[in-house]
Amino acid sequence: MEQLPQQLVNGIWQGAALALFALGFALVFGLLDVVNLAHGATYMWGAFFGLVCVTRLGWPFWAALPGAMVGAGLLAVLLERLAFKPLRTLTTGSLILWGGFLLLLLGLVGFHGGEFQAALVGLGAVLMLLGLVQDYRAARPLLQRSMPYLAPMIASIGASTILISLARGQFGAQVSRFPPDLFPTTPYPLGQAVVIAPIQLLVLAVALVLMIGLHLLIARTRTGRAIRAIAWSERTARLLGINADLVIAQTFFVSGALAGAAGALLGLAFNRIEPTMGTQIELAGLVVIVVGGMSSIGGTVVAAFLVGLLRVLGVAYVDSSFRDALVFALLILVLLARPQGLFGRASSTRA
Amino acid sequence: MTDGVLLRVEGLSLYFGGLAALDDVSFTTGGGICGLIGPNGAGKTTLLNVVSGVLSPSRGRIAIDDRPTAGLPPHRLAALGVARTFQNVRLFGELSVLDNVRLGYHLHQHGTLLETVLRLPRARREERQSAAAALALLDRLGLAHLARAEASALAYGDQRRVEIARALALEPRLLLLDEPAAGLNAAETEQLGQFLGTLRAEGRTLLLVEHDMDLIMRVCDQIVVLNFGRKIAEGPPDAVRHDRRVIDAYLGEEEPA
Amino acid sequence: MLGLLLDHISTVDFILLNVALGLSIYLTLAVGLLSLANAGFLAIGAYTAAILTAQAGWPPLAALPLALLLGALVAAPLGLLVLRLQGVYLAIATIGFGEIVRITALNGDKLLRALSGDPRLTVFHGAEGITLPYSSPLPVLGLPVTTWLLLLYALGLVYLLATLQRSRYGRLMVAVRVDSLAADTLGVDAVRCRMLAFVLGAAIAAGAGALSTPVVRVVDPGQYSFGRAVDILAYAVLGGMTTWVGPIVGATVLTALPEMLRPLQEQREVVNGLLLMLSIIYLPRGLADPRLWGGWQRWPAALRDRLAGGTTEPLPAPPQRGPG
Repeated sequence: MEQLPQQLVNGIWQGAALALFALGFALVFGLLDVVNLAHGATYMWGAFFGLVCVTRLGWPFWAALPGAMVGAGLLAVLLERLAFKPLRTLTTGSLILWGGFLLLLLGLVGFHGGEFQAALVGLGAVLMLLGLVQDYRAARPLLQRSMPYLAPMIASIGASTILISLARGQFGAQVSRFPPDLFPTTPYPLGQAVVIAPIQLLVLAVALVLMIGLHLLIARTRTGRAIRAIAWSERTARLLGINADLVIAQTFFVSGALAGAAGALLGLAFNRIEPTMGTQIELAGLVVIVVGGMSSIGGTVVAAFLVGLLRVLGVAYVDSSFRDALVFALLILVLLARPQGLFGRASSTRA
Repeated sequence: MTDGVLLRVEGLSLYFGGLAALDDVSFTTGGGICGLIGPNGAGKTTLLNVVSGVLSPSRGRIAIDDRPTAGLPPHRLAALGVARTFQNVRLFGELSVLDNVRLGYHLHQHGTLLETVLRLPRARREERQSAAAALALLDRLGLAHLARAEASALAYGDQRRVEIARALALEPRLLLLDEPAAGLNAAETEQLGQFLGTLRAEGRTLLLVEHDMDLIMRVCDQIVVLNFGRKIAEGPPDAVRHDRRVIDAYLGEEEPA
Repeated sequence: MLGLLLDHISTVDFILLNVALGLSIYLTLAVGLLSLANAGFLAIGAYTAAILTAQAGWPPLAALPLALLLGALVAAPLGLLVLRLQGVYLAIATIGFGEIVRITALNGDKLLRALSGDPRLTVFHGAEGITLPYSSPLPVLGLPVTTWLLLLYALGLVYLLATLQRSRYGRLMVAVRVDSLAADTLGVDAVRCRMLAFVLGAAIAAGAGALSTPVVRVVDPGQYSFGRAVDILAYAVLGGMTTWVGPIVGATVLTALPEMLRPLQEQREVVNGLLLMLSIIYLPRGLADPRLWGGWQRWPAALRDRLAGGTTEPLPAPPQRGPG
């Protein structure tokens, strides 16, 4: 059991990574009022993308990290088109996309190697691509639906299951690790009894940079303004000529990229990557966005540091097995005392 | 109802952030039809929301039959005999028309959960009674033939009338109607006016928000005029019709007939 | 026929168990609550019965009333806490509850040892769980007693829910789900209605947990994770949430299918996830939608109708945003 200052430092860098993850969550929720429960799976795939970049493409980590972010971002966009968009507007493109997806899955899961598998996967991928394009260019949807907010949540749960299963099939259920010499490991001393490892410093630095970048994106760019407009009222935004579907896809890309960054960074920092790594952090992320109130970046970040610290201190001072119970106890406490979250707006949580 | 007053509103104010949706509104009514008029955004629906318990006032008092009700939740007010309709009709689309109206009888049905599950006589009897009573109400509004239809499938005007029937199933002393004539043609409005008259004859008090000045002037005993959340005039139709302030408020929108 | 049944008796048992669980979540969904707490209540019931059997030799039937009571007692304060929350927040809070139950079961012994001072006290058996002594269940009229218990429980639930649905309570639940504000103005106390459904659903899940112990034989925390809660939700989603028939169909399909797919271990998860996605996107009203089965000449129109299940969706309305 180490000293408090060390635990605080640990809490800070872990909180920063959690903040990255939670911001992705909050972006999508703020935009569409849905909780994307496949976010944890996206995070996990980000870690694997990073791993693949390093081990199979031979890239250095500073290149693998953006690679992981882009990969996870694209995955998130695909997820949006498959699971969320058809619940808003179903187009022929959506149907083609789904047809391709089913073929792809059949190829990946139903067969082990061989030309037939390759053919199925290839055909599936092509159809999916066609479907995406057609879906994007669709002038008239087949069906326009009102979107009960529970349906996207349920769809994302299904997607998460599939993503985790695919990862298990592709990489095995055991723990994978980055190669040992990827990043310098000697810890820097920070003071009396406090050290921080280079990777942990990197996590903190990258997280801060990305958070600032996100803030600038939302506050200063056209896309950011469009995001805020859609978050307020999707219908009005469309009437004003905003291409809502494009902006939604862009938002999911950013959300996924943030998750991917968190995945690759934490995968390296903790030196474990496994298909189930997304579940625990997803639950922590849920607590963060509820505690922070889903209405501001700053609130989410502060809440993330709070939860991150709680987790670290919980392991150090209480008992590692109760770490998650503490986090959920915090959740229930906040929901009791201040249901809109520490920084949220009061109107949004009452039933 | 003491000395003809059922509803007493005193100094009612409601603030949304810095905006005063209602500002020091006071009036009383009882035993007749009170019209609530004013330009768009004047606070009429907000006032109905406060009286029916959907919103709590920031300041002021409301009393129904001398019983203070500010801040009570809507279901308590329903138990006190306050029923309402909504500006955008809020029927339970999935349920049949009959079931919608039967829901209004909920408070008169006392069979417990256990009795219902065990299909004991009292529960079964109350079910038959509620169906019969609901059908009778629908008949009164000329909608009995639609009883089995799914509520969302009805034409808009019919839906409005079903909503009125549902509110009446509560057997309310105070009935709040939010633009019941919206979307009705002249003949239908005439019928509505007569129907409101029969409700008054039954001893009910009505608070009627409407834009149709013809109807208001014809059926109301008393009119309260709001503008920007404040009461700017009150009195019998003739007085209000010629009130300078009321005409000014409406200039550019509608003119009182 | 009976022989065929007995060959797959384990599957039948699980189907009945999952039917009961599906009906428990149906009750909460019927009033518009997305509660993922039922896996937690299932755990409470299962652990109650398992501990009583392992420590005191009680048969599951004896533990049933205690499990029902315990489920209701835990659900009541929990409901008061969380039911005033809106949709997503409620779901998250109930997920949290489920996790707390699981973690408590996982570390229950640590807690008990700390509280009682006895370092060798072992009741929960941590991750490995409580293994119940196997005794071949007595056959009654050809079927084992355990199956009879589950069957009677499930039938009892069907009677309960079918009766409720057609009664005034059924209307109340629809009203609270579809438009709780309008229901409120009609004198319906939405909070009480939701509490009733929540507590009842919890008791049902806990009861199912108690009856499940002879079937699962090992009661360990891993069985009652978030994944299990999702499975239970899937029964209602796939089968349809508008009538009590839906969860029965959903539970049957989702329990029987993996059994049939048993040789394909890896694919089971993908199939589960796919079924969930496909059903919520393309069959929003579930498999047991009466409109789909009523007359196949009307299929083209009915199909289109179903895909556009948006406006009369059985799921609650989205939260209001902006000033009121």
